[in-house]
Amino acid sequence: MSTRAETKATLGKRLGHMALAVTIGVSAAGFLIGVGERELPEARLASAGPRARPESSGELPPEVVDYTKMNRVNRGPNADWKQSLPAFKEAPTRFYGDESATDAERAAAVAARAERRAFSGAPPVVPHAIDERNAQACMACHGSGLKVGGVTAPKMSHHYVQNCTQCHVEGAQNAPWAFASAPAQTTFIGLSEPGRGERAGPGAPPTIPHALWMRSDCATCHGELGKEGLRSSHPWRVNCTQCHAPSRGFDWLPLDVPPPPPREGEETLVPIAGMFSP
Amino acid sequence: MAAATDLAQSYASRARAAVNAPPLPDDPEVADVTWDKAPCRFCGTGCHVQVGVQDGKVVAIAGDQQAEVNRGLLCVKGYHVGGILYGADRLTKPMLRVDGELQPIEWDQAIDIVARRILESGPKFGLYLSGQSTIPEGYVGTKLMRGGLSNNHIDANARLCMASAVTGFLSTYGVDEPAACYDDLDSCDALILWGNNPAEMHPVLFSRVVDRRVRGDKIEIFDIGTRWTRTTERANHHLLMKPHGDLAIANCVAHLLIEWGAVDQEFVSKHCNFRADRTPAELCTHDEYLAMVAEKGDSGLFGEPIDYEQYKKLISYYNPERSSELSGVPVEQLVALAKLFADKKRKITSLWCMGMNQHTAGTAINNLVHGIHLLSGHWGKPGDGPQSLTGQPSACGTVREVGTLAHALPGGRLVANPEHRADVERRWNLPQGRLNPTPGFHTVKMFEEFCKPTDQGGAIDTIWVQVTNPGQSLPNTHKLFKAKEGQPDKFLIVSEVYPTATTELADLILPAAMWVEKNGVYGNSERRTQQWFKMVEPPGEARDDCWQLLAVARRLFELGHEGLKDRDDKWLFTMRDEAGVEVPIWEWDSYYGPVNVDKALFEQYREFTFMKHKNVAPYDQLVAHRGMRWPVIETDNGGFKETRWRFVEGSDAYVEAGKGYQFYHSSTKDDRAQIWFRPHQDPAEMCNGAYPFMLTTGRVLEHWHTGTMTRRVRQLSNAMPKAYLEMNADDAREMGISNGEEVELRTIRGKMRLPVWLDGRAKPPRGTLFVPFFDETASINDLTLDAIDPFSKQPDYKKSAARVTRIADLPASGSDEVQP
Repeated sequence: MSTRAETKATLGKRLGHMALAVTIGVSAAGFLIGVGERELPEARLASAGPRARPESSGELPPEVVDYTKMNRVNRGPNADWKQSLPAFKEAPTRFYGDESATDAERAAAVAARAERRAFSGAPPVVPHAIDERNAQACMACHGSGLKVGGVTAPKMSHHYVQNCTQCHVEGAQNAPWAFASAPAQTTFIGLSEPGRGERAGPGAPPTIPHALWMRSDCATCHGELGKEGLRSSHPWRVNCTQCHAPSRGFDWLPLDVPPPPPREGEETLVPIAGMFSP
Repeated sequence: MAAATDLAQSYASRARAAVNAPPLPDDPEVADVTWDKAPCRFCGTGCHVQVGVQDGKVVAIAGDQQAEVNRGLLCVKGYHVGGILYGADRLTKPMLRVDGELQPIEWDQAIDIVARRILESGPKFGLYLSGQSTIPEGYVGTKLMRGGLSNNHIDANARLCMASAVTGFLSTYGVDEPAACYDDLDSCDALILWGNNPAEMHPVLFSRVVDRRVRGDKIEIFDIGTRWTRTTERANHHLLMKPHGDLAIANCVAHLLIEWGAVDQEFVSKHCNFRADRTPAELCTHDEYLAMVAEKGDSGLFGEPIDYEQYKKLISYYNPERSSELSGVPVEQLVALAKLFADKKRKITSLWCMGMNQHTAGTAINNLVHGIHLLSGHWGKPGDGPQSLTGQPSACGTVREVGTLAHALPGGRLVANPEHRADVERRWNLPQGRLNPTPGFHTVKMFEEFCKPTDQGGAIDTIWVQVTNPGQSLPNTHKLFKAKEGQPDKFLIVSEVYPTATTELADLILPAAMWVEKNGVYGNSERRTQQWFKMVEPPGEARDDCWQLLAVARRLFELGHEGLKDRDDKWLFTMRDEAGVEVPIWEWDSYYGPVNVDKALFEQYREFTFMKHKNVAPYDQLVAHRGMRWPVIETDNGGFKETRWRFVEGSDAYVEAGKGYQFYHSSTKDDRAQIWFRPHQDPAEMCNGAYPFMLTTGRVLEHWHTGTMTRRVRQLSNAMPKAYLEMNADDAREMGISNGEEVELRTIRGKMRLPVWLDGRAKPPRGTLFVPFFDETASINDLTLDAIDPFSKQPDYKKSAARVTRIADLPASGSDEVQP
């Protein structure tokens, strides 16, 4: 504490000296600029040619920008994002859009899904940095889904489960420390994404070719924010299972293991209402 | 727009390249996947998963919607548990170290080497099992050692994780294991986490509580701990404490309950006694009592009686001001916690795991937490009671119930008890006196003796390790494991699935089958016994741990070891098919033959579980259920009913009608539980000038224990690839350490280099450091202390005095000479 008090005492004195120095400096600079040759800062930079890499560190020194241009130059970690500001608007809603996706579009969409999952049905890894401690931030974008520019934040496909990071981890750790470790060597090959659902005949609605567990909101993948190739051609119809039947064969529940019989004197397991049910 | 997308995609492509994506569907038909149930391979929560198998390989995992524990939800480890079978470096061939090099050998030779080594070593042989051993594996291990070899040097890694919970239950209720169950999480009004971070360590259970908030339930969470974690984010109260502060916190609650007249007089007078290490001759003060115990020593785990007046006088020492000073927790927070316990209307569940168990006063703090629940009457009602958690899937089922601890016999029996020995000899058809009456070495002692050179009196020269990785999980590994190196007469046998820190020093490696590559039975934290069937073949020549034990037992029999014969000169593990013909289960080709070996062993073991009223369900019942919680009672109509709350009338069939509560295994033989007086004590190692930081250790969400399985799953290792040093940002700023900078961490036992992560996954207060222990490339247990609890013999990993030095500030030479 004593050192801090001392610092405060000397600070006043030092500020006085600095003000004096600045006044002298500004006058001297004004005089020199007035008598000297006028040259624009950027021309000076250009004539200096490509800057040499300093030997000590691998980083370039920060680029000097004229104060008059400061507000027009993109700087800092979000420079690229600012540059594309005109494109930052919601994608137009496509009602009465395409008839249905092409095979190529569908294959591309399925491939993109597969790349973030160990197997069909696995929780996807998170393709961006996350808040390490507070998972509630997830809901800001993933609560109702979001599309900005070319980036989509899919809506949660299941009802709200609070501890998001319990199941979804970063695809690559974004901590500030370097990773020397190579990716784990594995021979695991996960279950493929399912193919198309069956149709009883031309024009008949296809069945749902995947399990519905933890996928209670069809719009996550098949709605407006879904990938090209998986989107529904009729997103205004929201009662999906009215026409598209789930297929028992794809459901996770094994048929050969019977459910537990009710126990005498004790209630049977009742699933928590509304939590996961489709 | 392009640039924005690029930025997002550069990150995404890193993520994508790192994940090995499944193949695209060439055949839309996926109905050839078969699904079956299994408990998850990782922690003690005991979630059930659905395992999808296609072409003889596990290809998918789903949460089991019919499982009462997890109701279809898993954590990220559970969803990726299938990947643990397929690390590229699975061990597939027995290997023997010859002139320092591991060379492949045949199974027959390997089994013969183990058997001959056991014969040669005699009492110097130790078997080190695990809380991941299945119940049949543990049962064969204990029967082979005690019944066959008259050798009690059998212990399990659960000694390192829940031995203090065991001694806590024994000295409080007279019998091990929780009386409560997970159903409490569905109805509690307040949840107290004692040194526990379930948001990462038991996420499914934590979600079971916090997800109730979405449905409008109000749950007050008290997080008592030494750092800010993901759990703290969800807590209403964060009681940031000094190491060992939990003792003063619990004592303060007890004191305030008495002072406010909030003790549940009816419950305590009917169902509780008071207990301490020693009975004072006359009413004495706290300081007088400490002096008396210091002079006389403790009287053992079960202590001596004290009366209520004496208890009141001793506990009055822990007034809020003093307790605040001892624990570092502000007085208002201590009072708030005590007020919660004083409120009869609210239902309080306490959870704890390693924070209370890895503690040199581990038994004491377990006693105290049970004590404040008993004292306040917050006990034995749905949502209202203490529940300890375990870190391994069968620490309860195998280690505690089967009894793979140095002092234990199956079903809660004790080596030192002559009646128990006689009973076990009768059940195993052994000649009288076969069982050795002296308890064997506990884990730390076993490895201490193994590392001590034989000419200096080292009493163990051979250890067979199964399903665990002591080379990384023991504390102070330089002393307790690595010192084995360079001692040619010491022989380490390791049954493993991957190369580990333990196989580094192994002389013989036996490749093992794991999880759904074999049949198994586990028992979770809430007394739930869970069964699964083999679903896929193990790779190469990997074989079941249980078969390995049986094959060695058979080889010993063939070599003429008398112990492997029962009273009728039959082999101890003889099994017959339905026609009465003996099945050669020691031959691998016959192991999965006409007899389900797992079922036969489990049914044999089941007979042992009735004495302590821990009746496990018959195997066939377990096949049909997602686990059942013992005691499982056969009903009049031939059905089976599980028990949710033990010692509680209406739930536990062994409680006599009209009693309300009955602690029918009470150590005082009067159906009462013990409320203990346990004084505060300082940690075994305190910070000092040379080592100013307190170093604590633990797990992270993505990895399980020493990471041998989870580090081989890409999604998990990408998310958390490497160990790190967590420190407070203000400490770092003062030392000029920046985020991500590599520093040297040192204790008196060792040193290592680690990157510093500030304000990352968790945040310690000033003066505290944290390093996770999953990373074998930076194994923090090289540095942790090996001080143990006097009763449970469990080491306290979590309080080592440490120092952090910037690499630039290290002395150019001679840095190794620095002493405390």
